[in-house]
Amino acid sequence: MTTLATPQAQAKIPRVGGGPGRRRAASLTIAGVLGFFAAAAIVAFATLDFSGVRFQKSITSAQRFFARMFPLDFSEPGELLRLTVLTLAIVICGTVLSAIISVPVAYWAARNTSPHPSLQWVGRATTVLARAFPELILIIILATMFSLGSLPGILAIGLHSVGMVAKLFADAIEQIDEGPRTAIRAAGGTKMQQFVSGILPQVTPSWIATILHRNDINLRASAILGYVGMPGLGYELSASIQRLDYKRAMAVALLLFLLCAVMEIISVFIRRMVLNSGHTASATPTPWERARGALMGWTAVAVIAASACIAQPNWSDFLTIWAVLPERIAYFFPFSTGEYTWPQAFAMLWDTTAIALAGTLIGVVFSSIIGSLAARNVAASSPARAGARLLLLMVRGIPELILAIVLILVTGLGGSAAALALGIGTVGLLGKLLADSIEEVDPGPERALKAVGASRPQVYFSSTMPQASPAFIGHMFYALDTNVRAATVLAVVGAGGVGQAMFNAAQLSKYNVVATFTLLVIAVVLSIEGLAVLLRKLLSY
Amino acid sequence: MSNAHAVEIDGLVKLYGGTRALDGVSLTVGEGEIVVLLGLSGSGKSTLLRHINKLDVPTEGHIRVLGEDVASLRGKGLRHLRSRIGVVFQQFELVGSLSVLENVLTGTLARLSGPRLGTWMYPKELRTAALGHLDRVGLAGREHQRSDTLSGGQQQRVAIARALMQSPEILLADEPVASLDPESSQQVMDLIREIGRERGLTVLCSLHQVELAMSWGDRLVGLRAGKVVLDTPASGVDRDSVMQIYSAVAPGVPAELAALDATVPHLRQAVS
Repeated sequence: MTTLATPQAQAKIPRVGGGPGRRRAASLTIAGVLGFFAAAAIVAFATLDFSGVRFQKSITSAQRFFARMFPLDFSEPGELLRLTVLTLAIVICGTVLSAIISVPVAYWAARNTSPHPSLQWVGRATTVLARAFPELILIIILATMFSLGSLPGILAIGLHSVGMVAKLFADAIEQIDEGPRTAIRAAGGTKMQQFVSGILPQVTPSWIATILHRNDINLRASAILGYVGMPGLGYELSASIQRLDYKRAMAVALLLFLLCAVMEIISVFIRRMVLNSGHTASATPTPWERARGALMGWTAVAVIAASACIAQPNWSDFLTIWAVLPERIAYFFPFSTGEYTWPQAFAMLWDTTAIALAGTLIGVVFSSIIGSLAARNVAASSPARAGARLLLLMVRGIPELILAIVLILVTGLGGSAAALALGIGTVGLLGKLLADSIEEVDPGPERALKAVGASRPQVYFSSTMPQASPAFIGHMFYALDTNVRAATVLAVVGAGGVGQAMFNAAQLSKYNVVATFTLLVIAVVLSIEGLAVLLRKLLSY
Repeated sequence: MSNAHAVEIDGLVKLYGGTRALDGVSLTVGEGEIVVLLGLSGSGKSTLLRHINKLDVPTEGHIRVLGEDVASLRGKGLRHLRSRIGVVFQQFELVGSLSVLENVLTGTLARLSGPRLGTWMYPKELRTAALGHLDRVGLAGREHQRSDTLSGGQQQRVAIARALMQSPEILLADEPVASLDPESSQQVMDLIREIGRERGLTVLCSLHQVELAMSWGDRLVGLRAGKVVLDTPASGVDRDSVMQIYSAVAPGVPAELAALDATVPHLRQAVS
């Protein structure tokens, strides 16, 4: 008996997390990494020119710009409508494609469904790589392989989105209740049956929410894909700007913004309906409640079918591509920085990273204020909270590209305007994520400090923030790596940096140079992700 | 025991929607008294405690605590009163990611102005005092550990040290041992009583274990369905009369069922 009791007694000894020494080392490392990034961001901010002289100059150029902008040119409304529908159709096809690819990838990547540890690794690596690969580069590469039209755009959106969609799909699978699946296995069900009957019903609401969320992101990204030839509003926008026809360009930009805003509202509405359906259903569902699911399903099918018809991808390309594929792949080798020396290449890489760092810094500063005020447990009143939430929603709805175009045209600057555009976009994204994580903290310690007699700011800093900060740090790095990719891509509107070199090379058909710079950007993105993983681990000590 | 009253509650009623969580509670607690609130979960013990430091607002009735009219207090005045009342919660309510020392130091926030981030932002003498309190609760040497790495009983002792940092005059304990194993329960209950005696604190502690309550407090107050149904000195009281407050005892059951029957249509209405 005593020998049996020993391991139990040992298990009772509290986990000490490696003791104070390890904890101190961990906090020092965390402080070091965060301090390094803060310093880099401040240096980046300082090197980008936000100075007052320029600002005054930019007011005059803004006046000139706005004078050339009005009245907005909404001529040929039929054409604008066609472009709007086409944009939506292409984006929906791309999102659906990513959802289809994501199912098996997520099944492999999820810890509890992965058939083998090596496949789990493959699944996770696929999501990380797909995320790191900017869709704009994908579309440039795909455009060399396929004929023009909607297909490269659909594929670029579809493949890049797998990074986020499959990751969130896998996370949802890992959070399921294993019971129903075990029951089906115990009853002799096949793996496929376990998945369809045990897992799918549990993850469906979360998967639908993910797809809708990604569709909104893709719609905003469509603006930028238009710059490299994807048909739709984005293309019209870039063509108008190249003609210096700002009246038309801003009309298209406004239309695109409204489209994004309307889609965002529709998807918020559907998400709420889907995520709450389990709670609101009464014991005896009304006929409407019973029909609703089927109705929504068929509507989705109809929308997807219509999108495929409208987008008219050139499916036959899939038959002809294989013959030329090896030759096209050979375009991307050997690696070379082209006309640039390596030091120049790294300097350009820093320029891009600096835009991302400065944008993230701006975003972090403002979102930590607005995001906190948007949280139920911090906001002074519910109207204040609703106001902050609405502000974040609106900011999130503006495509970064449009923001960047307007700012670059207004200020006449490249890098700092792009950083500002990224900063504003980051406020929308990070503010919402922060507000959500603050609302999720355990309210108990907050109550305890309230009982101690602490003031609201004291409760916030001593209880709310320490609980929410690991999530916030995670979101911050997510924003930073999104911004590195976005800063690369914003080169299409003159942000400079490594993106500029890539587009120049692409126009000269030097795809090996494009590939080399792409790998450099991916290396930066992956090292940021790696640091984020390290920090998450250290924060648990 | 002095004659001054630490807590005076008169005709306290609390409605949550249509439910009467407290139904006309009147209770006076003298300074330095150690009182146990007994009752089933849902009998109103926690609600009563939450009214003493205005974490909850009465629907009707008056509460005076340490000579202050609780209802009229807000802002700074309310925070000052709260700083004089230490609270120990069932779930400890420590910030798990912070160190033991920092959790203890948060007990002094009401005395400091402005937010604090990290132990270094607290004055040195408070840090020394915090170490003293940790020593008192038997956790010397644990100060730099992450608080969620401690066992439940240890976490509750950290919470007691946090309350001690307030130099409280009243100590409220809401089911302080409901989440602990018997051995840690005994340690924590002993500690609360010792500290109460040492410092002459007024202690109000809610419990649901009758045996523990009878041997622990000076005075037992039983609650059922939001009403005080028992108020007696702990010494010389017999077990059966205490058990009356529980519906588990045979005579109580029909009455409880009748009460339930009366509320069921009402609850049905509330649900639909």
